[in-house]
Amino acid sequence: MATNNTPSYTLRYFDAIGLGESIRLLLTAANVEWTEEHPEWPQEKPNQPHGRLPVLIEKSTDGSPDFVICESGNIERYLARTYGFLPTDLKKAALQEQVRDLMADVASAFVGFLQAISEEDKKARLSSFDEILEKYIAVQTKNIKDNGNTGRLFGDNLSYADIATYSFFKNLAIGFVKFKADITEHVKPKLTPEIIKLISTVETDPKLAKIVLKSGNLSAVVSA
Amino acid sequence: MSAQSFSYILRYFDLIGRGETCRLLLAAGEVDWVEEHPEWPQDKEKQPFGRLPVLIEKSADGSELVLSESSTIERYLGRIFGLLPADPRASAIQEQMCDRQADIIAACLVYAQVTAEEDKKMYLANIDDLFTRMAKSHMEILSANNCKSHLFGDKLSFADISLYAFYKMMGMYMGCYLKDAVKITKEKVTPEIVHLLASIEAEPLLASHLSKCESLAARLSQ
Repeated sequence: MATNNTPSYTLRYFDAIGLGESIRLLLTAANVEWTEEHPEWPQEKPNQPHGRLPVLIEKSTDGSPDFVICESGNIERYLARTYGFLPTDLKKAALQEQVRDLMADVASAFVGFLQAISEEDKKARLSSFDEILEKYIAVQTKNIKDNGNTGRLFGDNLSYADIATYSFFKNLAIGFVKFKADITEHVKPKLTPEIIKLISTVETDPKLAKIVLKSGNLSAVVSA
Repeated sequence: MSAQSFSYILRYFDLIGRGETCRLLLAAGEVDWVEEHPEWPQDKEKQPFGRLPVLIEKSADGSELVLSESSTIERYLGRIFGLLPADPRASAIQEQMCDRQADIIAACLVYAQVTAEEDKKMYLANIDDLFTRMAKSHMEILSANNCKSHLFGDKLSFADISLYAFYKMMGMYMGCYLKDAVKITKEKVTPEIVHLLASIEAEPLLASHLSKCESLAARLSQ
């Protein structure tokens, strides 16, 4: 429940899943006041602290200046730490952070594939993307199994890792369709029952109910 | 936390790449640590994510923590050694600088794979823009700090180490990926940043590692 002492937030990002979705879900799960701005792009580029999005603005209620940060992973970790979605135990937190960082590598491999020009290059880069994606799915599936197969990666409650993983698969199965029309069909066969259960567990979490389906129904897409 | 009760193994290739910041952090942590250079790709499947670097933290009781992903390893070491502030806001400011630097390095590696001339021009312009903004940000942080030998406060921090490794990568090793990397780096550094790099290089805690290396500050002053 937002009180007078709770900061409020503005997320500046594009109107897309991309690197904004985890931030939206963290802000929603934290139950704080927040709004979103979609700057005109590239016109607003010079007006951003570092020329890029997302940007998070934290406004205090005590008159102190706004706290502004950028870099999606940094924003996510800041919110996750502040609102209890990352453990205070540094080892446990690191185990969650590393899966998010691996996800970013998978996304980079996909971007690398999109940039390929020759047929030979496209084939090679798609293969690299598949390799790292399959590794990522195997790592995450093991995490879910080791955690008692409850549809959660770590512990018993909605975690940063759960949210980041959900957002990642949402990009892969829905968000990236505009870049590669058959990406959904390409990715679906690789999903394990454990991953599908995680997707469903996150999507039905009451803390996220306000917005989670706004960008699409991922459970429906991966089960179809 | 008693540093003496833990020892560390850093598994990486024998190059600067994504390992240098980890090496400097381990040196600054004054802990027992060694480096392993796995056979590659023979040892790929032995790694948790099939990738390097990997950090293994061994406790005195025999338990192990195995971490992957360079940025996670760097932040973990930064936190346990007290080089990253405990305050989330102060930490976010340092982490953001480090993430931006990592983006620039990643952009250079992508540039190296681009073949079409027009595309190369566009990617290079983007790298130049990011690097210009980054250097400006470094100067802003330094100007706001009373002590000019450190980015924050008056002691060696995560940000100092991260910045040093970034300029080392761009100024001494990126040339094989980006032909004009050294020239571009020299254009962006200011005397104040060179002074900062020289101060970091002179840190006793980093001497165990940097005494074996060429001076970055000297190289960028040429």
